[in-house]
Amino acid sequence: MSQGLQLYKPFLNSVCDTFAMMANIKVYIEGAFSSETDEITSYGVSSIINYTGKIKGRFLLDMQPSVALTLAQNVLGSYYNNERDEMVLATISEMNNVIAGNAVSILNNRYSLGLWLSPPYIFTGKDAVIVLPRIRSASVGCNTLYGKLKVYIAFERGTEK
Amino acid sequence: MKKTALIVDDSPLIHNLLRRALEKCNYEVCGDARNGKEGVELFKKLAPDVVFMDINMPVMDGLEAVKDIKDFLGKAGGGSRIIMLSAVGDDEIVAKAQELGVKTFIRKPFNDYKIISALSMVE
Repeated sequence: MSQGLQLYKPFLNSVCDTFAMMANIKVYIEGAFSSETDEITSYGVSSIINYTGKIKGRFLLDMQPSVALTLAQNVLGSYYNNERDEMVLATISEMNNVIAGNAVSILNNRYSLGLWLSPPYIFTGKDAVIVLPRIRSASVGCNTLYGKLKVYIAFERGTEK
Repeated sequence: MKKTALIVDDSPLIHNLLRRALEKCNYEVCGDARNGKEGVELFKKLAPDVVFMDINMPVMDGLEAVKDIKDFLGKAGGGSRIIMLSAVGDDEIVAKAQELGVKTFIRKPFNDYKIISALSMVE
């Protein structure tokens, strides 16, 4: 397995585990990781979290509003119809924190990277363009019964062999 | 009589999820704290049967809070009543928690089953 994939896999596994365990949503992975350009066009709701230690990087979870609403509904047990609702955004942020925290712990325990997380940021807006300059990003598309999501994992250039 | 639980976590979402899980287990949530400092104060005031303690929190982190609770309880120790619950599961941090007497550590993500299992270990 390439070093890049070794770093990416814990994030993808953590997405699937966290969605299933905390929101009862099964995530279907569609295809393999592919390289991304610096610009990401959002599905509608995105949460980004940075990590730093011996290497640096970013984890971005992008999803259609229908996924965000179902996620919040299943986790909080209340109905929401606006993805910009404060509780929906707080849910997505915390889910991202759990996903990234879990993945980073696995990487720290395996490779002693000493990674720690910064607080997550959240953005809304369909087709909003998110620019991640100077960073190599790999992405993989995923599907759920409620809509699509995409996972972007990036490590600072120069960290991969 | 219902047993009591104190939740110490900076995420309202986690409070919500834990409260629902605990109620299913016939626990009453007697206190909600948003950081370790509030958690220690509520522990002293409420003397809960069990504490769910996050690690990364503002003001005072979970490990420091556990140490304060342990000091408050004296040699009897309070670690066994505390369930650490965190997305950060680095071996080094888990070892520090164990040194403080914490016997149960849940790594997020979690579901009701994980909570029930953890409760059975501290009861």
